[in-house]
Amino acid sequence: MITLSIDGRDVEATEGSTILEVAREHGIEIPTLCYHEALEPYGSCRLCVVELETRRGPLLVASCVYPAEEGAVVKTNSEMVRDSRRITAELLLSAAPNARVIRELATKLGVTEPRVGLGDNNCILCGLCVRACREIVRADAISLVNRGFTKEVSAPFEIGSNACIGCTTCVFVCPTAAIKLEDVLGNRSVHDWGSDFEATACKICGDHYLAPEFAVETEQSLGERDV
Amino acid sequence: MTAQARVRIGVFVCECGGKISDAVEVGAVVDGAAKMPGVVLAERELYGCSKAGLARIAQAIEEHGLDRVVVVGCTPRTHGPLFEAALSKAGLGGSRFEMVNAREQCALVHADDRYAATKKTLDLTRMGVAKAAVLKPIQKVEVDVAPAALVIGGGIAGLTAATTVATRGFPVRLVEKAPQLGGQVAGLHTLYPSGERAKEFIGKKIRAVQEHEDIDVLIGATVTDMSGSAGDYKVTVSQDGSNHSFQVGAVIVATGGQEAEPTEGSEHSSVRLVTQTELEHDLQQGGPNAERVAIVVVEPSPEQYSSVSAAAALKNSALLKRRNPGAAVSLLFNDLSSELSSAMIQEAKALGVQFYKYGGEQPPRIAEEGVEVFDHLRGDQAIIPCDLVVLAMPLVPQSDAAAVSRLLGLPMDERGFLPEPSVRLRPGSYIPRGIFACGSVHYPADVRESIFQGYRAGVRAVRHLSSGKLTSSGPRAQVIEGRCVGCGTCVESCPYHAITMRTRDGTLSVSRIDPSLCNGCGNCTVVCPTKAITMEPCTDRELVAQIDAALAARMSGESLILAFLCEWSGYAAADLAGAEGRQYPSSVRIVRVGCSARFDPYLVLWAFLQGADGVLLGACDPGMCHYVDGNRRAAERAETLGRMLKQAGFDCRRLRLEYFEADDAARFVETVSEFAEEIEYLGPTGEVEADQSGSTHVGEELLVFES
Repeated sequence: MITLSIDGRDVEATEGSTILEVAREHGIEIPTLCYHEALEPYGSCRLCVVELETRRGPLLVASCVYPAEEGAVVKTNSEMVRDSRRITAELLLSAAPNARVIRELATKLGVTEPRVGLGDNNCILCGLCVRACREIVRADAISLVNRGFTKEVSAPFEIGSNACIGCTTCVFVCPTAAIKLEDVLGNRSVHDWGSDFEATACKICGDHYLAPEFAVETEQSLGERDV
Repeated sequence: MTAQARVRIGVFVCECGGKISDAVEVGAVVDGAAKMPGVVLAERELYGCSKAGLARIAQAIEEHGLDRVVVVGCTPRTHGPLFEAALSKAGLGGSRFEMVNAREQCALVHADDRYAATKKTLDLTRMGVAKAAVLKPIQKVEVDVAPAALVIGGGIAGLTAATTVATRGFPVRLVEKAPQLGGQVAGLHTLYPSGERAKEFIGKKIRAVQEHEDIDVLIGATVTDMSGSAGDYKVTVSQDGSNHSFQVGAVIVATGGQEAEPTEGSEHSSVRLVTQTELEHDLQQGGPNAERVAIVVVEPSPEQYSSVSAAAALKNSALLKRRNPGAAVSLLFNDLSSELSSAMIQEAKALGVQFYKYGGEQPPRIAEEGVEVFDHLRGDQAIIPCDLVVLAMPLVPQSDAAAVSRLLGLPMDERGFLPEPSVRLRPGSYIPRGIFACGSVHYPADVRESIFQGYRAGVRAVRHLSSGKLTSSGPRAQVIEGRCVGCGTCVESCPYHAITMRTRDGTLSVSRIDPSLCNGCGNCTVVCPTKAITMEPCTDRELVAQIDAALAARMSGESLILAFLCEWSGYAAADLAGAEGRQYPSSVRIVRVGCSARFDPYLVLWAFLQGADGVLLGACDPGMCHYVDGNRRAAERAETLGRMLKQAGFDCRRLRLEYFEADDAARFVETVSEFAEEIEYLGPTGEVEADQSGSTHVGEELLVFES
């Protein structure tokens, strides 16, 4: 067990914890976006930054990834932290102006209008979808591709992913509702037969349940019996 | 009750840092859980999934000798693996764990009614505890992969796949039915757009395969049998009247396609009619000698359009013109697909090839002097005089595609191609079959596409073979032989052909389910007339336990709906509804299943008999079932059951099967709310006694709301 100070309070922590984990354990709230308990921390949104005292002065660190160390002195709500959070919120608002979570965050921090241009989709590149697909589902169907302004989440070669299993975990973990199932699968179907899927009507009973490939087999086998 | 007496269940109720405790009275849940059958410990955690939380749970397991853990927290879809891993480390592996979804199914969706949210959480906890009490751990299946591959087909795709696998260290057996390797490409003249000679090109590939020490080529041979299961197939090949058998772990199907047969011939002796394949042969021999040639891109139906033949036709038209600038070369087409290289089209036009768009309604006819065509661009009939007409027919599956499909259990699509079935299930929850398809067996592919696909299939086969061991810890059906009467109904019901009959004691037949082929849909468990098939963790026992527990603490006047939702549709939609903060009535209790194929009419009846006011079955949209067509079967069963209920005088409006999309939370909430309203209107199915719970002291923990 190690001891560190958060907001003037001495707290105990297990070695190997991050500052965020320690804070949460002790009921100290630090806002996060790209943090998820079931995923390895990523540190992309920068909302969770806290002020850490170092020999060379105060340093802003991402609490979700920064390890808690013996004797560390951490401030979660200093002016430096609040300023950083406000700017982060402003940038997030410009990236995802229509996302409820971002608007609520911005309002809370007193940010109204971003001073930079507005994005046209809600993706904030937090990577939750990619990480969930890799670490929880283990299908690894999507990834963050390109760099800089063109960085985005995509399936390989921007066509429907063969590895996607259609579980919609990515849709579920996305904080800004920026990803849709079609974006990954390339169409709405979990079956591969061209990109325009339509359920075939069974020639015998007329119901639209049969997926084309099995329509052939089922109709053949039904045809052999007395229907 | 004895099963419950034997287990020692620990219940950990998570506050989720306030997200749950803001809407649910966690203390009441802990108090209620402590009194549930089999529970020896009930505690609350601020963050159950945190490092410290998991450590405390591990410690509790040791201190209290727990053999089952129930976590009342958020959705198992994201946090399940986290807890499973931690519990495994603490010695409680093999799925002796159940997660109750109090956050997405209660706290976030019934945020304005603390009492209802708490009552529902208690009910869901009771269901989780009841299930945990009868849970049996899932056995892992392990299959050793035979480190060798079979490639069926020695065309460009097969040759590429074979070299890809062999260069990565796995021996390959390549089986080709013709007397030589090379497939379709060996019969071509030139390739486009490079203009390379096909024979030289494929010759290089053939030599590479023949000279590779790890590739064993069998020509003039066909695969006659394939038995065994994933990872270890026993293949029998027939060659020159003798049979060879060998074991492989992966199979690559590259049997390719062929040019379709033209439907019409030519009665006019002055016009010679050939297929494009014959033209390519001619070109190889130095011919053809014709001053006036018309190449017709034939499109028997829109679905049969093959851009491969069209591109080859384009290439050939330019080639003929380049070779004999004085010749009259015409290219007739219905619709030149945008996939064709515009550079090639421009080049052909520049060389003087005449392009005629004929339009679909009036295909060209072979007449006395040439080809009669309705020229769309000019708007009238034209007769193109020619002495040679080339019919560029689309690429269709090989004649033996149906046989290959049956042999390998690969479904065929409507056109007879073998699309590689995509298994959209969680990695690690099923055994991948190790059968890959590449090239035109799949879909008409040109040379470049075939090479790419051959390479891709090869690499995927290598990855499969490199696994060494294939493991699956997903649900798998098992036959209780003592109950099996050998009726064979289960055999027909399995979409994966995993069930066979075998004899027991020399006379009686019983079913046998191949654990490496079973993907856990549950069809067989439902259709078995003697209930001789079980499937952890979704056995009848577990489902009945949950149904009973959901209804055990009914309050009078409380409407209660059991919702059986498949995890790919309704359950996921319910989670998303929670994430989006959508509110809906709290009368629904969700039971999660892997596939709607698991919906057993008997269980629905049981739910009604136990007092459920409504039963909702949630399945994937038609055509979207991850287990082929479980949802179709579910719909049929629900419909039949509905009719039976109606005949029995029961209001069948109380039973509904609905299709849900995993990412459409709005529709989920709309449907559930509407159903809940209707059930409320229909009233209770029976009388509910004020204090009908024998097993828990219902209401005591809820008294906290009265102060």
